[in-house]
Amino acid sequence: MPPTKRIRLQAGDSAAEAFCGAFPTIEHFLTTTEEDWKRGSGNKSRTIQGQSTDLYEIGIQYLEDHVAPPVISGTALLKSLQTTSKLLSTGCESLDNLLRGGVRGGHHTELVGPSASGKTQLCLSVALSSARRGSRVVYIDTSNSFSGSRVASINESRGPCGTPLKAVLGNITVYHSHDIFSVLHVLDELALQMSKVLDGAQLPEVLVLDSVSSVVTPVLGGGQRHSHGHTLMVSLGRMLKVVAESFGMAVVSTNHEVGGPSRPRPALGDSWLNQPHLRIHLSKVAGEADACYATVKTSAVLPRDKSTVVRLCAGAGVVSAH
Amino acid sequence: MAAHGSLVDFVAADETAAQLLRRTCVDPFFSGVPFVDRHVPLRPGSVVEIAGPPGSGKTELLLQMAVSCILPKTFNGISFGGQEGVAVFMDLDGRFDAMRLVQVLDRRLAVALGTHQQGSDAVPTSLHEYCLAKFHLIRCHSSYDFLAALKVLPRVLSRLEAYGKAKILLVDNIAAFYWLDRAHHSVACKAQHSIGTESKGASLDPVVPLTMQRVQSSVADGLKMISSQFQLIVVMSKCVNVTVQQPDNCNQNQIPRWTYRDMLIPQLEKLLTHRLVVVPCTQLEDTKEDTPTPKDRVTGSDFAAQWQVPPSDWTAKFTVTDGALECDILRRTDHPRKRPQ
Repeated sequence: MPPTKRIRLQAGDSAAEAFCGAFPTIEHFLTTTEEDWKRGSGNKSRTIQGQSTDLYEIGIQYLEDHVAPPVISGTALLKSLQTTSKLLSTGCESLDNLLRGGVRGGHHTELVGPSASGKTQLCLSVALSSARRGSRVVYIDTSNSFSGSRVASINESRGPCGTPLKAVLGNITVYHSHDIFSVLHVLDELALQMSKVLDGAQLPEVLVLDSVSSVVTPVLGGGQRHSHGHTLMVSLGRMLKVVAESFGMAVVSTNHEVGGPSRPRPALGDSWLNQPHLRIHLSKVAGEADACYATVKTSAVLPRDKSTVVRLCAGAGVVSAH
Repeated sequence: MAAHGSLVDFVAADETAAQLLRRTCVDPFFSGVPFVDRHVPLRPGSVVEIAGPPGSGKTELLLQMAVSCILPKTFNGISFGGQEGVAVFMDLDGRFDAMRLVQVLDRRLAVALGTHQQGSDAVPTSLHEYCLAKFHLIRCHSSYDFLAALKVLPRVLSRLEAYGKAKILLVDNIAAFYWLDRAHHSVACKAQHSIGTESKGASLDPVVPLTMQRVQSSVADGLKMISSQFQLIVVMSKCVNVTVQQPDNCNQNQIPRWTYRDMLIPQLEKLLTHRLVVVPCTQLEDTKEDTPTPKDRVTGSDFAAQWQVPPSDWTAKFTVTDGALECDILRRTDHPRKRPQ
C-alpha cells in the first residue's frame, strides 16, 4: 500500500501533513487503537483554518471514503440476485437440472473426481456453451488438456448455433500455465485488464482453470524450496473468488481425488475444502465406459448428495442422459 | 469547605437500585437455534465462537441467527418471534450466498404465517423488504480490508440506526486469513531494511507489516470496542480441524471430548464468553467402517454440536434442509454406544 504522504486528504494539505507525520502508513493507522493514540500523542488535535480537527477522525474519514469495503444492504443483495446474477448452462441438460439452471456467475464451482472421470470434458463443454452464446471465455490450461480440434468436434455435434466455428473458437482465450506463479500472474493481469474495461458487455463470462491440483501439489509439502505452499494455495483460492465476484464471472476449476475408493475426498487438504462455493463430485459408473455420476457435495443452496448420470460420448463430448 | 463538598459528593449515591436494574437487566437475544437458546441465552456483550471443520454447518447457524435478528416481533397481529434489530454480517471467507439468506428468511416467514393463514404460502412483499433492509453485508478479501472495516464500523453502525438498533455482528470465519497473514513476516523483514531512512516519526517504525500477531490483536481490540460501545452480540465462526476422542469401552457414560488445536492468539481467546464446537456426523461414527454414512445412525441428522464454554453434558444433532434447521438434543445417557463386535 502506498505511504500516506502521497495521498491528498480533503481537509487541506496542512491536515494531510499532520496526519502523515503521525502515521507514516495506513497499516500503522489500522493497528493503532483510539486509546493508544490519545495516550501516546501529546498534541491530539491541530487547529486548522480556525477549526480544531482530530487527526484520528481524519484517518477514519479517509478509510471510509477510500479503503473500507462497502456495506451492502439485504435489499441491494436481493436486487442483484434478481437482476445481475446469472446461471450459465454447462452444455449438459441433466447436470443443468441438478444445478437448477447451471453454474452460477460470481461463484467458484469445483469439479472433483478420479482421473478420466470427465472433468476436462465438462470444462470444455462449459467453455463451448458460453462461446456459442457469443460470450468470451478464459481458459487456463495447466496440464495441456485443451484441444482445439476436440472443441470443434463437440461444436459440430451440437449442431449450428448461428456463429461460425472460427468465431466460436475465437471467443475462447487459452493461457498455458505450468506453475502456480504463472497462474496467479495470469489472474492478476486479467483482473487489471478487466477493471479498465468500460463496456461491461465485453467482459468474459466464464473462467476455467484446469486443473488446480496440478499446480498446487508441487508447492504443498514444505521443504526448503517452497515454504509457503499453503499461503500460495489460499491466495489462489482467494484470487479466484475475487475475480468471480468483482466481474460476475463463473469460475470453474478441477481437482483430483485422493483416499481411494473407500474414503474418497478432494485433494489439496482441509485448507482447500473451504474455498469453492460449490463442489461437484464425478465418479465412474461401473460397467459403462462413457458415463459418470455427478453428485453435489458442498453447496449452500442445493440439497447435498443428490446425483445424476452424465453421459460422455467419445466423439460428441457431453450429452445429457438420465 | 471544598474538600467537605467533594467528600459529600463521593459518598452520595450514583443511582438507585431501580435505575441500576433498568440499566443492566437486558433482554436476552433469542437466536432461533434451539441448542443455543436452551443452554445459555445470549446477552448483549457476549462473544460467541462456533468452531468446526469445513462443511459442518457453521455458516448455516450464523444465517439462522441473522434471520432471527431481522425478523419482527409482531407484524399485523402475527407473532414472528424475532428481535427486530439490525444484523451486520462480515463475510471473510467470500462464500456468502444471498440466495441462501433469502431461502432461510422465506421459510421462517412462511412458518410463522402458516399458523394463521392455512394454505396460503404468500409472504407479503412489504414484510420481506422490511426484514431484508435490516441485514447488511460487508465482504472482506484480506486482513487489510477487515481491519479497515472494523475501524469504520462505529460510524457505519451509527448510520444504520435509521433501520433499527444493531443487535448482532456475525463474522464468517475469523481464521480465513490465517495463512495469508502468516506469510507477512518474512516479506516485511526485507522491506524494513530498504525503507528505513524515510521515516518521519522518530518513535514509530516506518514499515508496519500486517503480521498475524498485529492483525489479530487489532481485531481483538476492534471487536471488544464495538461489542462494548454498541452493546451487541458478536458471533464468529472459525474453521479448525476437530479431533473427536472416542469413548472408552469401560466408561460408557462419558461423552467423547472434542478437541482442536487453536492457531489464533490468546488475546482473541480471552474475548470469548461462549464457545460451541460443531462437527459433521461422519466424524462421530466408528472410523473402522469402510463407507461411513453421511447421516447419524440414530437420528438421521447431518451435524452434531457440543458446548465447550460453558460446558454442557449433552450433544445436539441437527440437520440442515431447504431453509430450516431441525435438531434433537441427546443427553449424556442417550449417547449412541459402540456397536458390538
